[in-house]
Amino acid sequence: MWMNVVVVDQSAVNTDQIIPGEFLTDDRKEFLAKGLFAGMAEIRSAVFDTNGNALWVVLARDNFGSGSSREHAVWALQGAGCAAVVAQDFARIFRRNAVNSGLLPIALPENCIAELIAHAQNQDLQICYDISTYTLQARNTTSGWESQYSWALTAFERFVVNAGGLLEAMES
Amino acid sequence: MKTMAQKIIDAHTTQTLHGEPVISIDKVFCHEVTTPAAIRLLQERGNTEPFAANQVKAILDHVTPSKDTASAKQAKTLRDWAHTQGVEFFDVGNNGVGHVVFAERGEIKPGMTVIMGDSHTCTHGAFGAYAFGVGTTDLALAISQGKAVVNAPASVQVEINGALSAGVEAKDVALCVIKYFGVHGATDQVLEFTGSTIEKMVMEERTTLCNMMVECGATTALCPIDTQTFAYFAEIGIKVSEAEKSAWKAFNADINAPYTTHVQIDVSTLEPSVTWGDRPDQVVALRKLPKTKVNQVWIGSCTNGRISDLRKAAQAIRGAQVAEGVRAIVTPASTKIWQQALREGLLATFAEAGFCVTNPGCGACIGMSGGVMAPGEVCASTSNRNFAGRMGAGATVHLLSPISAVRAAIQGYIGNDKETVCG
Repeated sequence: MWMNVVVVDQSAVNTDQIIPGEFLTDDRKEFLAKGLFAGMAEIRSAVFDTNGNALWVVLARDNFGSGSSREHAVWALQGAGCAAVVAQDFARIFRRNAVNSGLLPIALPENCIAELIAHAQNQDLQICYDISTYTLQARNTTSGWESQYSWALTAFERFVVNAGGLLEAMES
Repeated sequence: MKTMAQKIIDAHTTQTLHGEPVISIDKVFCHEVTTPAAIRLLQERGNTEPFAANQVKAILDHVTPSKDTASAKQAKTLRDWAHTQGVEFFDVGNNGVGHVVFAERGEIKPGMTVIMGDSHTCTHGAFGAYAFGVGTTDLALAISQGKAVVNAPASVQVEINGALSAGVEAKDVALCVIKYFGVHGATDQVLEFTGSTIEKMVMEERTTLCNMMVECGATTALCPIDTQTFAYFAEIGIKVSEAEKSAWKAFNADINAPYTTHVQIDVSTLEPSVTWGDRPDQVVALRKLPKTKVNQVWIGSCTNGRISDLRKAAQAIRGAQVAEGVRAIVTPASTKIWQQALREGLLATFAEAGFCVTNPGCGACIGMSGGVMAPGEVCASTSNRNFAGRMGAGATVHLLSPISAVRAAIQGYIGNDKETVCG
């Protein structure tokens, strides 16, 4: 499935930015979605510009999800329709939380991230990924540019994702 | 030959699952922001019973006392669950910042595995415990099954040498280490401290240092188990036999342990420091920061709200008054520290100088209560995160030590009004 992309062209996007502390007195996804990227007006409008109820993905630089351990950051993204985060790499706790809660962390090398961000400039970048083959396809619907990348999860992460979550995996 | 992290993980590994160690957890700590959803996850599976009630502790620390209906409901969810399940619960009047309260009660012992749904759980590495922050789902697993799945540990040996100059504190050392690694430089690594500076640090200083190592991405940070460790347990009234001491010391790293790398940091010329940007690795000597007016000064948090911090801060006041236009707030990190500071006259010193003394808690640091900032305002804070908007939407945070924070409160600004160089 082709998905629209919200670019957060920044290193070390932290979980306070994804969902500020003032929103942490509730943990329902639909509530948290209202606080997603609350302090980042451009990113918020990009989220709202994505197609209605269709799923979308975040594209960011390195160290995504640093800082606080709040799984609320994952839930806020999911509540707003985000299915995966494509980044150079992730902070440890965020990556675990994402896998545990079913948000896919897709890590690509620095040059691939740079290429994707370069082709996202006119907002017409779309991404499609396949977990069974660990591939990611990208296209720009205006320029016609296309590319394909490989990524991977660890064996344990794959086990959790296939089970539908950590608690489900540990019960199996 | 093993690192300290390897020894603790190996001693707790019950199985390997798809290549990753599954470890038993000795202590699970819970607070009211990240735990209610874990309780709900367990409710959905029909059983919220902890694996061992006496190894699980629960506390209100992020918003305390509750500020509104939503936070009151969070508190009630945690309180009701703890009471139903026989989990010891630290409520208003007997609470504080979890990382500080559990440490002062001697809950964390060397060689233990400890988790909490809080990234600053690495604080307890000061005691030689493998303590790490997790999210809510990992927390739910630990509450119900007493286990966690971890990465096989890889450790960096961080050797810190040199005597600290007067006015330079553990906080300045922590900022120096974070600047060295960068906010991403220690991701998925354990930092194992050694060196003459660490040997001299008392346990409260070590907790300040280990607390902030998540800011450079580290899974946790460990201090050696030594005479400082034993002195701490003696001080808080916990008797430790010679046999126990030997067993604890066996967790120390072997000579020639397989570290991924070894780094040396000399802190003999380190100066009082401060962050200048919105990342904790953007650190500069305080005297090199351009003069920056502050609206608020906050002394508190799991980094710097302990009794030794309050003593140093109170001493630094020296009869001065908080500058006009500055809101100075001091938040003792636990009820015990609050009471101790009261007995020692520290609270009077703060109050007479114009500080607002609040009840214990995390609120200001995380921008949830007890000192939230307005857009455009600047806070000099002894906490651990200067992320944009951390202490309030649109507000700026400068991290520094308690002594430096007192100077900021009295002067009304940080930095040097003579120099304008930043770098």
